[in-house]
Amino acid sequence: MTPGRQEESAKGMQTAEASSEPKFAGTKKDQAVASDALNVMRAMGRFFPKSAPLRASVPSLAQYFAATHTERDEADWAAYLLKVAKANTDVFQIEEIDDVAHLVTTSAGVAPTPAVVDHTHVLAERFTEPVPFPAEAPEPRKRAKTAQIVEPSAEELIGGPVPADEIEEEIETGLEASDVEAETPAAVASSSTEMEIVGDVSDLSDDVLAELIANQLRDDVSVANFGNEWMLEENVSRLSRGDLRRTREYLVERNEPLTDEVLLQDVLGLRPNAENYVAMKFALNYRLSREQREFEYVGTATQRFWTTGGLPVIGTTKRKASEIGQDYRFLLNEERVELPAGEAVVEHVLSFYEYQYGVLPLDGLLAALMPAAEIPDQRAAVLVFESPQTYETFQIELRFPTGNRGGYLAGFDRFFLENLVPGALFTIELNDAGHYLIEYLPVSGEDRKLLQIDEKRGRYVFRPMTFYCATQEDMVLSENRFPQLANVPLLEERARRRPELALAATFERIGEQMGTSDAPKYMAIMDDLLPASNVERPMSADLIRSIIRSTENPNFSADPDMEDVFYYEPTQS
Amino acid sequence: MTNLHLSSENMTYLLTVLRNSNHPVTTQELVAALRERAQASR
Repeated sequence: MTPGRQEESAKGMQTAEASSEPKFAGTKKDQAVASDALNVMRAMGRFFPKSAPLRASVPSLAQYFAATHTERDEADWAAYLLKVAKANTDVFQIEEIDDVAHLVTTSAGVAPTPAVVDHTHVLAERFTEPVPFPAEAPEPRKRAKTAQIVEPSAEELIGGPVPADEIEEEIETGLEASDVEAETPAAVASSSTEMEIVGDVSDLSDDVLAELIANQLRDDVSVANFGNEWMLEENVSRLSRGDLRRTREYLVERNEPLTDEVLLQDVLGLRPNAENYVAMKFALNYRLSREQREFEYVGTATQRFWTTGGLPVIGTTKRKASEIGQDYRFLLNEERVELPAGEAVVEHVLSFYEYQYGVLPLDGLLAALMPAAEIPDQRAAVLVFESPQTYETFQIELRFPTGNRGGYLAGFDRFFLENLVPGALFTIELNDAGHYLIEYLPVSGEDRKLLQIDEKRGRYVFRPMTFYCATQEDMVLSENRFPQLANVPLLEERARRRPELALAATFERIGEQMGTSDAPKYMAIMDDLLPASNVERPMSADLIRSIIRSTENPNFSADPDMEDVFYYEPTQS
Repeated sequence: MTNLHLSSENMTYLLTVLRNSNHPVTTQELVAALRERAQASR
């Protein structure tokens, strides 16, 4: 480094050092006194932090100055020091402590700033000063919704999109109204986009009020809900990981869905007469419903069944549940029927398809007899069926309809196979215990050759069968009635899935050939079409009629003169 | 129907009912509680 550079560097260092010293106001004499006072106070607090306040009483400082500078006495120095301090408020503060003036400064040479201590997160503060309880309950916190589906109004569904001129008219009307006067509360309430706040509930029916309560409480995360029961979430007992593990292991061990009461008593060891039995039952159901990966709710309001992965499937293994649901898709278009008051019995005639797979459709009165899903997104419910005639009880799975699959009951395979034949008439009744009774009319043994499937050959065959149940004759698939079905191969899966193709195949199998060999035309009546088409896939009489009358299927036609007489003319390739 | 909402006073009352109960309350019981409150306030 050159000598020039060294000088510059030294100057720079001196400048940096000088800038840390305060500049005093006043005459040179005042500045000298202020500097002395500061140095004295710095000496007193030489071990203090730079920002710590240094205090010295004015009399003690005056005494020091009077001893070192004798031109003034103590009183004069005291007055002079106060005057100098007042002129240098950046460096000194004057404090009165017990009527004695004190000068306050810091080692840094600046007046101290009041220290602010943040006690916000001091643990002691948090324990000793709890948050006061709010006078009013907080606004319900909205639970995030997975999907918001806006249902179209009836007008939109029926009338299609609103014409443009009507929209313009509405806009104009709206503008006029806003120009003239503000909307009245009644108008706001009637608007489809505004919500009406209900203060007085006396005008609402119980059903409407219950729905309002359920809708609003369900959105509140502080409220626990299961079925139609509610509790504050914080009041619901919790289940440990061990409780959940033992519950799952017990379900696997018992190898069947179990009710909440069984789980409560056998796994959690709670007695039915325990004081907290009802609350614990709710807690068990609520907590298990939150563990969707491990547990699935398959219960009803009367019997709350739970299942877990790895349990045997209720129902047939011959056909996938999803495929059966697809087969019953046409049920989604059917209107829901109400059971007559006081009636809790439904009659049903067994079709070949139902017999083969041990299923029953969730249609008409049977759907009305069955319970609805108790919780949102419930896939299935386990129902207990009793057969007083065979002294057996078995579990049936009710598959709820979904967007593109119809609902059905599964698990009758063995019962149908052992006791009934296609065409059998039986009843299903709901008893007071929430169990379903299935009963048929027993008759003396009858021997007939009935349609069956030869699994090895993949064909339909007629085999002699002895059965002891009453049948509805027009649904019985006997050899005498449908000899054409013997040795007929099973329909391909592709054709089975489409009702119109399955119906066409049925015409070709059992219909009466009225055309020529080059231009065939088949005729069949509903009484034959219904049992024969239900061999391949479920089909209702309404579905058959709608297929035949649909303009999309010109190959089918109905007889103009005779009811339920139909024709099918295959397209010539 | 879908535009109806219970007032905050009603909801506060329902939450109070739930807070004061150590067992589950059914929807029907909540309906009855609201009706009882409406009658008492007249």
